[in-house]
Amino acid sequence: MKEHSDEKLVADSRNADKSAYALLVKKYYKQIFIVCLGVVGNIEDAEDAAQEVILKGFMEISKLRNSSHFGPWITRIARNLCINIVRRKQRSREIAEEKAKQPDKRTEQNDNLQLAIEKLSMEIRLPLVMYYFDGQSVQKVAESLDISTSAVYSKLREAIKELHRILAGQGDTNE
Amino acid sequence: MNNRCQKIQNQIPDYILGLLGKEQTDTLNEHISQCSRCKKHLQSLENENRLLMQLGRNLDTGMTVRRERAVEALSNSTPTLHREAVSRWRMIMKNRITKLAAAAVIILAALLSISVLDKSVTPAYAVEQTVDAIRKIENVYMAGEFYKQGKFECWMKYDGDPDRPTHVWLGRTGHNMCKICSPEGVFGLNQRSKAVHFARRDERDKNWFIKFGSFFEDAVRQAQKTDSVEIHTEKNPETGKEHIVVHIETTNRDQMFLVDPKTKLPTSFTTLRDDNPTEMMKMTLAVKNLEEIRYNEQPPEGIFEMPPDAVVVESEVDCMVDPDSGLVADSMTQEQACLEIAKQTGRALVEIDRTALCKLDLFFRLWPDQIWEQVRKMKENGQWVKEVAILGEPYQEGQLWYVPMEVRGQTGQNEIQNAMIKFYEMEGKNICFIIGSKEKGVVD
Repeated sequence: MKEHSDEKLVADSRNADKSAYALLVKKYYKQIFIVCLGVVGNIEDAEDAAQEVILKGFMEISKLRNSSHFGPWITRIARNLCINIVRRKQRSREIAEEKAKQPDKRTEQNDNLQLAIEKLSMEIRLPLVMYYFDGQSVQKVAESLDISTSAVYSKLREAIKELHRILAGQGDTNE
Repeated sequence: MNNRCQKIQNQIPDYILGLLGKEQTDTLNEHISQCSRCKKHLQSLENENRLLMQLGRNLDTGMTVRRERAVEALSNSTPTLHREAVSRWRMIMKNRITKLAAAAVIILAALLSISVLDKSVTPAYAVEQTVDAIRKIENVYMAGEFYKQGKFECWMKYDGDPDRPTHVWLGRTGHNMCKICSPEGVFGLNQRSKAVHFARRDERDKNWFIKFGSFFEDAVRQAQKTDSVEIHTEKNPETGKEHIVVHIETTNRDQMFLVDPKTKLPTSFTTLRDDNPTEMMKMTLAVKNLEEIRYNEQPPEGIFEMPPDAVVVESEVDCMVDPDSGLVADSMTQEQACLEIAKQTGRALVEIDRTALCKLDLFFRLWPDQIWEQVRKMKENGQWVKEVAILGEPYQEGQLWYVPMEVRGQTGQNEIQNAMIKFYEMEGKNICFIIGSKEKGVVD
């Protein structure tokens, strides 16, 4: 398949070319999804949020000034939009209600781990998810979140400890 | 818990993240060996670390389907949709393709995370059918990945026994080198320079490559004894084609064959999870994935033959050298070229410039992706090479040149090596390469 540059795809997307935008989505979907997962905390909500991010990106692509920066731009949209989703949900207490209503599709092996990840605070969950699930280096996580590498390490350290504390509380540990 | 244990347990996350220096690691290990409580804590955190990585891999497996769903939803959307949150489930129910994709992701998610111990086989298919079908093949083409050597392509031709090929062509993607096994002998061929190096011994009867005839059968039979084999049929949401999935789950790894329902031959082999890849990397040519397997196609003309203009060389290394890499030494004396290649290699080593290292020093061409990933992490953690110093003038012994160098690590570990350099004349150019070191010998 012919490889198109981001610049060309962004230019075509600005002219409402959905197929060009779809190619950008294919290229950056994982990055978008991982950021959504890091902020909202669970896979189902992250997928819905990623969908929302993609549509928002298409609607607002004319606002992207540097067309070679689509990746950082869309991940910033993802982060901001997901923070709003979390705030919205917290306000309306949707999380608790939804959990009571929806059957949990997660399977036993990762069930407790996913729940524990969901319970982490967003500040430490996002670097953890980017590092472990997107295979990003500490340097890259630091660049994406605009923080220092030592701050990333400190958040990862905290996340590992907190995750263990939660899992130990669930009895899902060797200790 | 005493203060000592508290301190050690606080350090364990840093240990998991590879942040501890050698001294701290030694202290931690010493304490762990004497304290069962801290040892248990470490094991717990290591286990959680492993589970996180496994969850990451599971997420990856469903990513293609999620992405396709997103694209599908995008194509069904209208510009006014941005005003409200779009429900994923409303979107996926819109058409048949997305329904299939959704079904596939649920099946895959179930496969990846539930231990399926049911050894039953669907009535329409039995593994014996595949074992029989493989026995009848005349030749096979594979594209895949070895644990150690990375991506490869391979053609094999049989005369009745798919465990003993009469002809083999094995090449690494993006490399000029290939290995050929034919009635002419076993030789390495540089396709660009046409340099040919014959193996000293006839390897045709040795296990130097997978026994394709038994590969599927052994994997399934082995797993059937102690672990789980799960077989079902599913549709590929991307191509719409149906295939049989033979999923093998053992203690250390999950692997999956896709089998063509018509021919009953495997079309791909994928390692979905491997908790101990270093164990596999110890083996010479352990197969991790076979992305593509095709059968009974005519191999490219002359692929198993020695080129008519081949140059037979004595050393295997001379066959590994590519004419478009190395340091072009045309405008320099040999001493100057030796110093230049040593400097460039040293700089590339500090910066972990993979392209430059593979171009100048044959040793780095042997590193698989995992090692590069590992050394990058070491650099991030301040455990990599700080500088490479040239300790003296280049000197010549026979055909080879040497440059005394010292590799200085960030953690205070230094190593002196005499880089071994050889000059070649290829395509009208003088080129030199680091082919090993006096201390460690020639790369092979």
